[in-house]
Amino acid sequence: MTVELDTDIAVVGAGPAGLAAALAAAGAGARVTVLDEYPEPGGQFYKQLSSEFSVPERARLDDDYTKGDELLAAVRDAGVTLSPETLVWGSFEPGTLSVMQGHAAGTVRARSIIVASGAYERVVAFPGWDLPGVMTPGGVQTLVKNQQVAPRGRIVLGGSGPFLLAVAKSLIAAGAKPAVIYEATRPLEWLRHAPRLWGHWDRISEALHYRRLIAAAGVPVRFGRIVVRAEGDARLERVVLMECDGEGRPIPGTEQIERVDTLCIGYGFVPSVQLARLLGCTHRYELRRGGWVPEHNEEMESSVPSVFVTGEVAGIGGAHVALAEGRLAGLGAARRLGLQVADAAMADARQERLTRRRFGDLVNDVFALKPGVYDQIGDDTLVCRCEEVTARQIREAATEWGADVNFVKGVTRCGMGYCQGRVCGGMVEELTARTVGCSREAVGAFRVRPPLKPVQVGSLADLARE
Amino acid sequence: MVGCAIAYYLAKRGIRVTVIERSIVGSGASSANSGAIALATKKPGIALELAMASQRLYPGLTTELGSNVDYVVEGNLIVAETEVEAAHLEALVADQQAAGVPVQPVSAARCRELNPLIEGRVLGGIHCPTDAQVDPFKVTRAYANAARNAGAEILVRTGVETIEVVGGRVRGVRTRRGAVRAQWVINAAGAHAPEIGRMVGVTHEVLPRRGQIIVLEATEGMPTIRVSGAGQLLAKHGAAAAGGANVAPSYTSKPLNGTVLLGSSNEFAGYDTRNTLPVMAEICRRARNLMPRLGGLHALRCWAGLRPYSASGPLLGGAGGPDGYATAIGHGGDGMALAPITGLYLAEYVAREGRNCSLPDFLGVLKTASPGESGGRPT
Repeated sequence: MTVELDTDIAVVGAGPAGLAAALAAAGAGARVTVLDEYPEPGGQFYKQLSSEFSVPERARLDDDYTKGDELLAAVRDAGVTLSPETLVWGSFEPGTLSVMQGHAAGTVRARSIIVASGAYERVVAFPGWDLPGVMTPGGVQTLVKNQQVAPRGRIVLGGSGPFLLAVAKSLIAAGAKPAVIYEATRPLEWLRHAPRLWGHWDRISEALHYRRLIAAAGVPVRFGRIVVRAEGDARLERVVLMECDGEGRPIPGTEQIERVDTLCIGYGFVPSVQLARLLGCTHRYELRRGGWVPEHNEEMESSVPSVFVTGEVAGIGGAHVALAEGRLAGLGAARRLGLQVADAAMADARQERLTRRRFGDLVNDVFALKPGVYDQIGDDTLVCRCEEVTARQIREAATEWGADVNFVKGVTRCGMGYCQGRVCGGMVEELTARTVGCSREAVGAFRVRPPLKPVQVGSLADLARE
Repeated sequence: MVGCAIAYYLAKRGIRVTVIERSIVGSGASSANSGAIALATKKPGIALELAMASQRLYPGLTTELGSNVDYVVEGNLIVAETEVEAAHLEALVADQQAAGVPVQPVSAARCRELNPLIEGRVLGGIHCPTDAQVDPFKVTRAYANAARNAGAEILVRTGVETIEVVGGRVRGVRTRRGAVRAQWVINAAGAHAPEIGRMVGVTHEVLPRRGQIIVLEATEGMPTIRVSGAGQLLAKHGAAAAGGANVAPSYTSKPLNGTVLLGSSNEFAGYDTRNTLPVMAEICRRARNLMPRLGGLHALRCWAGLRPYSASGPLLGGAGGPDGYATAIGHGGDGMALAPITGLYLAEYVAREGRNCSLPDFLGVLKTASPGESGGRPT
């Protein structure tokens, strides 16, 4: 069984950015197909946050959808083809995407491609992070919301960023109230960003809503502390926390031991750029927006003509950015096809994107990753769990020949396992760069080759001409 | 890999040597192959002689270089799927046995016994129990590190721009980062060898031949014996295939990390190192035909590398052009297998100023030398 499909615009990813892009492009008259890996459209955001997301009313702009179902209904009304359970795993010719539907492989041809592949969680290792009982916020959220399973025992949240609050809220709703939330940043550090809050009233009220809800449940939030170690016999039993300075460096003498059964720890998100890189888009390293991001023009077209990037993959910024930027990319892609898009609509979309990006960047700055957290990765700490590679092995390989992450990968096998380097990639780059004291640009990133996700040999074999 | 091996054996003799690498150590074909150290795939002649000499060096390499190269003897099975292939193998095995390779013809039933994944149609095969494999990246790195420890200098991310020739003799090279003075310039640029040759006005008949490989998920209990289809040898031993890709079933188990490699293909596609869908699909189809159970495993990643193809085999030593210019190129798909012997020979060649050390003589002397004297002067 093979799949063949032709369309004007292929959107990869059915999250807020992808759906908003599809809606805008279809509205301009394009034939649009949205390809998404999961059974239900909506992406990680709507899957995990839709019922939580309680902006009091639909915001001022008509197309500022904050609830997935409304956006989805509009997308369907606009005649967009939704193609769920469709994994995009490669691209071998310009304008084509190799896909997998179940075990059926095939090809989608499109005149334009909009990459809306979202983001995944940033993992920063520390001694004991591989113990059972240590989880990521996204993992906990999926467990609670999709499988209606609450993590066991005493739950502690750690790391940094607003997503911790969303997970706390889900846990409270599920009757698994967290014992405490440890946020690495401090409100005092936020103050210098305060003036930039002006005007973003809907987002402020949203944040206050979360804060109130968590306070009402009696969950304390402690600031300026990071987990430096997790301990336990075969399973997580306790974590050691320390106060840290503005750079995330632990302050000696501030150790504190917390008994815990489940530690939910995360340091924000990383753009999921594998497809954009495979398509040949030029990337640059922008720590503020999560790391490597594809470059694009003001209509979201990447360095590769007719390939657009939008939402989290173009830089972490949250759902409002994704919605605004998706619309802009959709209009831009439609215009690229020669369809009529009013200049006013284009200008409006550009303005809306800039406004939302400003707030996104503000949140990113407030919860900026403190570099010191990487210092907690001890020499014996596993960095690549798939291939069981320690930080020591990575540090040693980094100094051998010219500090290149693909050399480090070749020597240590880090990133060669089932997750294809998604979990360890950022850490390997960071450790390599730090060990030799050079920039992330200089050490590079893991080479991206198909398949972007594991695919069955039999499915690939079916594509061969007998 | 070849360059690092040469540097190691030169440095070991106390000769000052600098390796100039355009990218990083092991970034070319050295990190894009399956690490086969095989005799069963070689046609008798100089290629087999070299391979036999090189294979004698490999078991001691981890000790010699002071760093594990993951040398594993897992045996090699080449199967015939057609009458033509069977006839080719029959002739090959006789010649190989005459040359002293411990290879045996085996029945179809024995093939299935040697690697139980084989459930597709085979007519028979040849089996060489001493064939081995290494981790190609580790070998390259081990040679690089050992060369540096022995006093060699390796300049990474440094491309050669010109070769300086004065009075008919090389005087060094000019790189993006400055000049390196030298009495000898050895071209070990793999598939890019012709580019270096042009700098001294020499044409090298070396073509980039692309090989694509697919890596499968780590799976427990995979049979370790290497299996390939004889179709690959037909292409390899015949004349250069004109266009198109040669894809035969090819299975390499990596017992130390549990993965399986499928491929590689053999294609002439210029310097394009991308993977292509038709070839990936064909590699999988051929593997599934021979070993149906592989169809249920997942492909994790793939890569493609450029083998330096030379119709006349490896071009080692003097190659025309100015005095002091030598080559270590044209290894085709055997660069990993032949790198140690190549390094040893080029070091000898340079030490003797290129005089009185023909390759056959060198190999003849090596053969009579006691084993274990792997890195020493053979005379």
